[in-house]
Amino acid sequence: MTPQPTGRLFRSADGDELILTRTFRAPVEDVWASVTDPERTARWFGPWEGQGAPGRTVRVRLAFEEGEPWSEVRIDACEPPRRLVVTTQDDYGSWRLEIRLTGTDDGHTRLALVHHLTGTEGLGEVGPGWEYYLDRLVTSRDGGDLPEFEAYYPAQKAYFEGLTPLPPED
Amino acid sequence: MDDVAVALADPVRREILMMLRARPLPVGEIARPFPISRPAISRHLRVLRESGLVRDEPVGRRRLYTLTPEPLGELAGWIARLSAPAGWEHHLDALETEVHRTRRERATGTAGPAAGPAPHTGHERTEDTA
Repeated sequence: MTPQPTGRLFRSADGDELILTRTFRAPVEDVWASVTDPERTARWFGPWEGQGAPGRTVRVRLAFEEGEPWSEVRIDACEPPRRLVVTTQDDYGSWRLEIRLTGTDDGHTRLALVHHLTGTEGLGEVGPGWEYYLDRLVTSRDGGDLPEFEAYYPAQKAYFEGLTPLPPED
Repeated sequence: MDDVAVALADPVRREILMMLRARPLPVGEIARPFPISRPAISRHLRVLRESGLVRDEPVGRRRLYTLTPEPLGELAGWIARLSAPAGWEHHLDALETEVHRTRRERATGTAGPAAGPAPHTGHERTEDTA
């Protein structure tokens, strides 16, 4: 099935935010483990090592990228099981990322990945990459075929390039 | 050879190979000139590595990619054959026949039949009688 892009762009006080969402049939604590426990991040993103505490920098191995490069990730905020804010620093530049988890009344959990942008340049490339990784997260939990990046890029490029910033949700 | 041809079929991969001509580079530097996300560059590098046109080696926490053009040899040879004029080998056949005939005629004219390297192919006998 052709994956459908979920990303939306919001205007915020300190720049635009690209937000992508997924919903899981699982409690918040369980989804939190998928995005923080090194054994579980290894399944969809890569394992990490170091001391996972606010203000500390850990090393994440991007296990599903060519050459499995290491990336430095500074933990800016860690509020289990609902909010994680990190800054990544590597050859690709510096990215500020945030994960927000919200429990729903019917026992589901909504995950929002927030990419705090410093500009919308490259959005057509970055957006499909996040959709791909979030679908990897879904597949790592629910089973099924792992997504191929070719299904996302360049198919979703135009969608992300065409996004215009919306007013903040709250 | 199929892997090499597939690797070369993409303009981004051809550009990456050009970049690596000068010196080995880490992924981040390879990616910088392209407006492509990390997974896309990863995919291209994997295709290049599997075709044998680049190799990667760990240097500290990075990986360096180096051009290894050797697999191009087979493809280059095939292209050279393809580029040669059509019927090229048949032209040579005709030339060879002509050389044989000339040598035989000279032998016949100057030193008699026994001195020449008499051709024994049916093809040339037919020509003799013609």
